[in-house]
Amino acid sequence: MSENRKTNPFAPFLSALGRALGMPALALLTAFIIGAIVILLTSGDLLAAPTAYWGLIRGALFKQRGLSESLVASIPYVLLSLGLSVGFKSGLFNIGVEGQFYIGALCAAWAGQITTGLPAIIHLPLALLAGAIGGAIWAGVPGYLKMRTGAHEVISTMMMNYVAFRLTEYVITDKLRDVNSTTIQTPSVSPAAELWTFAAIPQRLQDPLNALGVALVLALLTALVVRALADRPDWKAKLGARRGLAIGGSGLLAGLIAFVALPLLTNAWWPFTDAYDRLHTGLIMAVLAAVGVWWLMEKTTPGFELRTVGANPNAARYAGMNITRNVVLAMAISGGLAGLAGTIEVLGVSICRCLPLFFSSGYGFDSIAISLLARNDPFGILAASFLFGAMRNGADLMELSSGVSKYIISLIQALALLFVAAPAIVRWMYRMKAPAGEEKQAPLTRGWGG
Amino acid sequence: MKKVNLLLVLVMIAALALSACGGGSSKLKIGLVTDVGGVNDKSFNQSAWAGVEKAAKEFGWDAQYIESKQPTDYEKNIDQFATENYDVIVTVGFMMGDATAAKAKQYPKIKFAIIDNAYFPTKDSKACDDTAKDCYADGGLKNVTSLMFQEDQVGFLAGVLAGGMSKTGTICSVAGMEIPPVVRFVVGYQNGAKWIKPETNTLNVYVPSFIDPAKGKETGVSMIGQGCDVIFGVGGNTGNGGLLAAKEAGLMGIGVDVDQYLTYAEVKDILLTSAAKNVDVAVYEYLKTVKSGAVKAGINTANVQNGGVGLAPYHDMDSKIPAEVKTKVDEALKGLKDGSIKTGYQP
Amino acid sequence: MTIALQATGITKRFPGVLANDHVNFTLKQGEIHALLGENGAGKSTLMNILYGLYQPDEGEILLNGQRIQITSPHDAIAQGIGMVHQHFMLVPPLTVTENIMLGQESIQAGSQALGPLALLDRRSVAKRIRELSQRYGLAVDPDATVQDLTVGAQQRVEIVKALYREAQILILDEPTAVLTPQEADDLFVILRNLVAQGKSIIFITHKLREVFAVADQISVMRAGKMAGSVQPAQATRELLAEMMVGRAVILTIDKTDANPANVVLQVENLRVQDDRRHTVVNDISLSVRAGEILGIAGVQGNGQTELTEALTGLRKVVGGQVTILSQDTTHVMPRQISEAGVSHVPEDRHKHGLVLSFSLRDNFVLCTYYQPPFAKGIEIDFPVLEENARKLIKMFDVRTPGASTSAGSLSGGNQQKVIIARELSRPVKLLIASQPTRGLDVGSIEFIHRRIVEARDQGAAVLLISAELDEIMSLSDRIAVMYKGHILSTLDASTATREQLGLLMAGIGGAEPHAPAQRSGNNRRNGPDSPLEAMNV
Repeated sequence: MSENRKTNPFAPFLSALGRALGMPALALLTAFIIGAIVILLTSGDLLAAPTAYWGLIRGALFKQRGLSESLVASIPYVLLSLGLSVGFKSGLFNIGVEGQFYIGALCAAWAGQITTGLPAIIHLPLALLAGAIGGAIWAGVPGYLKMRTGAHEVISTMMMNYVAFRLTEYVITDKLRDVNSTTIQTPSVSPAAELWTFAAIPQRLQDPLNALGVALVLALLTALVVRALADRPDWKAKLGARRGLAIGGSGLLAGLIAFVALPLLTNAWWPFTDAYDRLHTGLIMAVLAAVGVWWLMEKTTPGFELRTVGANPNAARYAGMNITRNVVLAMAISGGLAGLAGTIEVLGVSICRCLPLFFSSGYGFDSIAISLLARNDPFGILAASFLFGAMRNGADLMELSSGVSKYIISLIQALALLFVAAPAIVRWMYRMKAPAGEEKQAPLTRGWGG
Repeated sequence: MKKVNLLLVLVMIAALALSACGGGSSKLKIGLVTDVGGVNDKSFNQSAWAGVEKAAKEFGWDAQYIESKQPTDYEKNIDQFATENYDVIVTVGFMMGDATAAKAKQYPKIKFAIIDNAYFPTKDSKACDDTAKDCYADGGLKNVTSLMFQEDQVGFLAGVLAGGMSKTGTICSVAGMEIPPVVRFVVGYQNGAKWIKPETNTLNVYVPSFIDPAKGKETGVSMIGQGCDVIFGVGGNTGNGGLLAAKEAGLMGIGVDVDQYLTYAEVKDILLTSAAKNVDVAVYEYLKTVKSGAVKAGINTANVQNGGVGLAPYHDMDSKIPAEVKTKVDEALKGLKDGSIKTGYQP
Repeated sequence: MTIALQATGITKRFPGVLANDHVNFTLKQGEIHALLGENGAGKSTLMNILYGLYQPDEGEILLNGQRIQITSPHDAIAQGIGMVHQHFMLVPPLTVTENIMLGQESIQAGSQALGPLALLDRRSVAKRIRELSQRYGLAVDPDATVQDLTVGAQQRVEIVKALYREAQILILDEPTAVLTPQEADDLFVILRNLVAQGKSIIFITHKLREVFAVADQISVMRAGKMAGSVQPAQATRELLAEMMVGRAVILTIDKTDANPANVVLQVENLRVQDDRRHTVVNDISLSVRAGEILGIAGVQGNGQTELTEALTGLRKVVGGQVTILSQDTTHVMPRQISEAGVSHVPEDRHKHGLVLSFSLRDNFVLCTYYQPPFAKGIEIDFPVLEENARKLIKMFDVRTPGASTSAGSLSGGNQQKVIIARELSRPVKLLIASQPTRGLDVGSIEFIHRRIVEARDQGAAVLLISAELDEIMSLSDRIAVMYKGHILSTLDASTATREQLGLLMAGIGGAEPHAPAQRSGNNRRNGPDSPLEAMNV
């Protein structure tokens, strides 16, 4: 082995490459190389792999609406993986995100169709909230059961998945079936409860109430950004006592400008002109959710508690934290995000803006892989979700243009995950040394003993 | 050596990229989008693809399919073909009605065929609202052909056979989702059984899925418990589960959509027949009109009169079916053809 | 005297660490050679090299004058070197005989033909175990199941296991850490027997008292180097401590007499059950005043753990009452107890005391993260946390690269300093310190002891629970001895003797009124669950 290392002329080059790229990137690269080998072996055609990968990239990024569709597919991934990561960091394996996704979708579909009389500024937040709460309750119950009866959350959330699937089927086919449609689906939600597509924003903003809603959101975001900046030492010194004024003032100003100018501006010029583009504002929500989860887990006392409970529940108890409350909270946040993912799919993607049967296929399970790949880092999740969304979306064109089955994508994803989980394999391949002070990672989840 | 290979690959990639951008072939490109059942569903997705393949081979066209994983994929998958400049897009299944209509309006130059879904002006419909008199002519769907089947007719024939063969006097059906094509099958089946023996008891359960054989089997077992001895499996893989229940109980079954004796070998020895929709024929015939230029928007109905639907051969059961039952089936077929017998299906 | 084992110039490097730096070590035939050193001094590395777990980068090993290479533990055993680890390598559900055979199974004569199915020859192995235990005075029952044995007996099994494998040289890693003083004394008798019959023993420890009690030769390691080797007659405790730490160490704590004020902790008739619902704290009453240290002595496992947990709210109280500063805290949440001014140095620093994956900065505020100035609303003020961490690291002399280092990467002594720093950095009315120096080196022990006395002098009530009799005796103002869930006796620390306490820890003696109390206590333990028992009373 050591002889081999000496004689291999590529060793220095490979290890330099390894150092330059991060471990996940390397894992991915390696997975694609092995995928290419598999394609070559199965097709016997030297060109098959380049053709397939070119099709994949073109489908995911360059073809008409390719990038948009990749983003559309990434959005549920982001929210579900964020939900899983909150669970993992709190020591819980919420394997039931798929079920919570369904319940969220169902609640949103219900809340979206109760009336057509409400304006969007009320109805859309209401529908979003309904979905998130539905998911939160669906996940909170197993959390509570875990603490009360010791029922392990992996088992109970998985069982809750089946209950969710059957319950959704029942409600769609019976209680909430759209009688005007021959298809089996819930009634379409009120146009006011629909999640806007980017293309529709200029037209939506023509309604002053909608503009007001957007202005409020922008005002709030501006205030939050200014507030975060105001804590930097140099700003702090300059602002002094006027900190509150600066925050409130900038928020108000941003809101006012948005309310007056945005409808006019977007009407005059707007980059999203393709009316058939499905990219929707759920994208913004997904990014905000990632920032929010990061803030909650890393910057706040509830997040500190959740992480402590996850890393060492005995120490958490010693420190006076309420384990039951934290476990239920972690599950509820996790489920709430999963429910929001389902909600967004109903309000923003489903063509009928309703909940049809067979709503999702495996988003929840893919998301487990995504959060592992991203090591539960919210911004890593944004990147990994885009990767998975892009691969899911590009796979069709890959198959069309090269004839390579799109299931090769699953193989590549599984390999990437394997390499991330077992970095020693990649290190061996690229002749990398283990980092000197290999940091001990917090376990993703504790054993099955509960 | 290695460098040379690498260079070669790079050149080939470049060439490929150019050709992909170039296009310009006179061959027609046909795309097929399956519903969530997938292309190997041993049923109508598979049959539709067989029709596309046959036509493509015969006329020298390119054909590809995309399998849909979930309903939100329908739009995207049709768009996939459209943006790749496909000329004809076949969408399989009633569930794709809205997506197909939306995309047909978006791409008026592409020809669409949808199986099992006809458009009628409907209140609040996104596909074709009631301001239009006719969805195809003035409802914006001038490029859509609906390939419809009179499932009630073939269901009626299957019912006649089932009623004639049943010893218990109870026949049943394990149905998929309660959508019009399935309902037509079931209603025809029940009325057919009552036509041959008015006292026949009929059972039916709509399982809200086409891909759940476990639940289909469970449903079948429960109906066997209620005395049923002929099971009509009418709902993709869910219905297949019902047939499996019949097989395990040693009773009789009737397949659906295609001749399941050929596609579902596990149960072939208990299959009386299959209530076949010749989807492949319908798709092939449609593509032939595309080739000849005679393609028309509107509803193409396949029925017993034009051979688009019909019972599959009896195969192994041929000797076990009494002659008088066969005679009754033929009599019913004749009656349906000349209109003297009605299936009793009301849309 | 002949030389049994000689290691010269042993050097072992790990990434970034020189674990052994040209270490010389000589073990004579028939001697007990104590190896002293702080944690991380390189004792374990050296022993692991002798036991074949590591290969040295430099240096050579001579066994009976022959140069040898020890490639694996298996090889070490074959060459007559046996090791008794601090954590026993026994399979609890198997019998002593089976454990000893494990890895070196004897097969019944005539059954070899059965290949892997050959029959085990338990009988002859058991016979050999009896011989060995008789010869060396090791009381071991070959047919007992290991999980039923006491810790001391399990240790004897480990020794017999090594002897069974014909070990001539025995390495004992911290053998007394788990024993009572009496059990330790028994062990020393056994070791004497062994060397009298020609075995040679390497005895790793950091307890100075034991070294004088048993060793023929003492070697001290510090920072990967051999700091020196002396005979007990020429050594003093101060000298050895200085060799270990590298500077003068004050071993006895200077403390003034206690100045007890008002009662801070009042415990009345406390009863607590363990996880298996056995009553393990039975009718305990005690009180601690401000400005005094009450030490609770006792062998590990006599209910101290549960007592501490009950006092700090981590375990449910079954009966009795706990009052802290005239506030009833019998059934309240840990947080309320902590907010009442109770600081708790937990017995198990990895299980309760720290979140190992968290940074020191976060560990320093494990109990106070939600209070000002650390949190504003629900947001944590990280600059304040950083500042706090820097301050405490300095004040408590925590050796760490920085505040963002994870607690898990520190040595045990520094981890314990982090906990002490955290618990003493907030206003303390009552300090409950449980095994505060377990497994620590001399330097850290000295430091922590001083801090505990300091807390007392500043007016805190201190409840000190420790299995180390030395610790209890040098720190406490009063000493209570706990045995099987009872307090046998409470003595004045200035008059209590080691022997007196040792007997009490073994359950012998105790003040006159306690003997019957113990008996009735035992009955009560079963009483509520079992009416039959009640009838027998």
